[in-house]
Amino acid sequence: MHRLGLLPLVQEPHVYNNSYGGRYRFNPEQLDSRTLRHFFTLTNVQDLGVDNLDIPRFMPRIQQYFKNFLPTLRSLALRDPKGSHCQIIYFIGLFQHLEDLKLRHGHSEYRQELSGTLTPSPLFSPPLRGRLMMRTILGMDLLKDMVHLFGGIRFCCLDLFNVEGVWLWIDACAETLETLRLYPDGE
Amino acid sequence: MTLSERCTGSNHFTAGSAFLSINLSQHGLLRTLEVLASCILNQFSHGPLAFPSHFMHVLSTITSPASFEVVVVYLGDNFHGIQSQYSQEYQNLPPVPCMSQADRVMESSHHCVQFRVPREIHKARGFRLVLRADIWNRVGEYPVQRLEEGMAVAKAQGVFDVFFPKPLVIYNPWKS
Repeated sequence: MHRLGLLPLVQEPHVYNNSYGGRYRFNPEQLDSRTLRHFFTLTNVQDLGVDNLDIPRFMPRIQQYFKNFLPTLRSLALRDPKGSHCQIIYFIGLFQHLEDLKLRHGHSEYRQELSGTLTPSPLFSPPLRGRLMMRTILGMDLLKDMVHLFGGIRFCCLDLFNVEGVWLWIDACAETLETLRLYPDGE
Repeated sequence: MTLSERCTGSNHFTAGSAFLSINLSQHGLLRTLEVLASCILNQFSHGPLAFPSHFMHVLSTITSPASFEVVVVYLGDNFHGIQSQYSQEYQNLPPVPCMSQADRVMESSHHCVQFRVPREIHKARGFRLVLRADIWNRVGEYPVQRLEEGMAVAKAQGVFDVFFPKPLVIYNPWKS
């Protein structure tokens, strides 16, 4: 696609994880000069998916790496991101037009990575008025930090499975919620 | 239920108590509840309708305007021979199973029986029933055809008499 000059037309790229279990991390070392050149050519991305994003390794220059997505990104899907809640929220807050968010944790190391580190406040408070899909989110810190740092949450669609305090998320979106997906136990 | 108890509750409603504490009366814009078909319909044949009864409770708390939808989401494994998600290993398999006419009739009857659950749930609050097949696009219209056949049987039996407007079937293909 790069040779044909089509990369600027890509709207929904996904950085996949090839090794299940969270050992592989997407970090700046994966972006050599050639890959980085291709990465920066993606200037029309609206829906970005990243598996195993190692946010601490990108800090504090993470904005420089993802700057080309900032004006256009509307939907972000993070699978097993590494970092504290504040770092994840900082990353989300890079994208000023973000509407939809998918956040999925699938391994037990997650809780150990929650310890707070000194992270600057998000650059933006994205609208986040679309769909929130979350899987396996432990603790209430993420909700508290999102409400605190983004001034509340305003999603119109919630799809939350295995999320602690799920009803607090639902209550937090009381004024905007239009669609709710419900799950019973053990599914 | 106290706030701290709610904080520790996930949406694994094993005891059902968390579910029964839900009150959606403050969600004035809420117009759609979605539920997976496997969560709500398959329990019909297993005695107590635990989840459907909890679902009815949630539904009864909703006070938003009358036009309300309950979307039952069907995945691939709700249909005979279809995988729930796209995978490379299924590349060489036919996108839809080869079924005899008798098997198709049996599957349609199976869906027809399950439609009695939404009919029960409808007693808690009126809603439009939407049956949505979220299945990878290689499968095509096959699941919609099975659901529509099941609906035709159910309609003939009067199962859908309580629903107005009439139930809707939607195909929401995933990109493979």
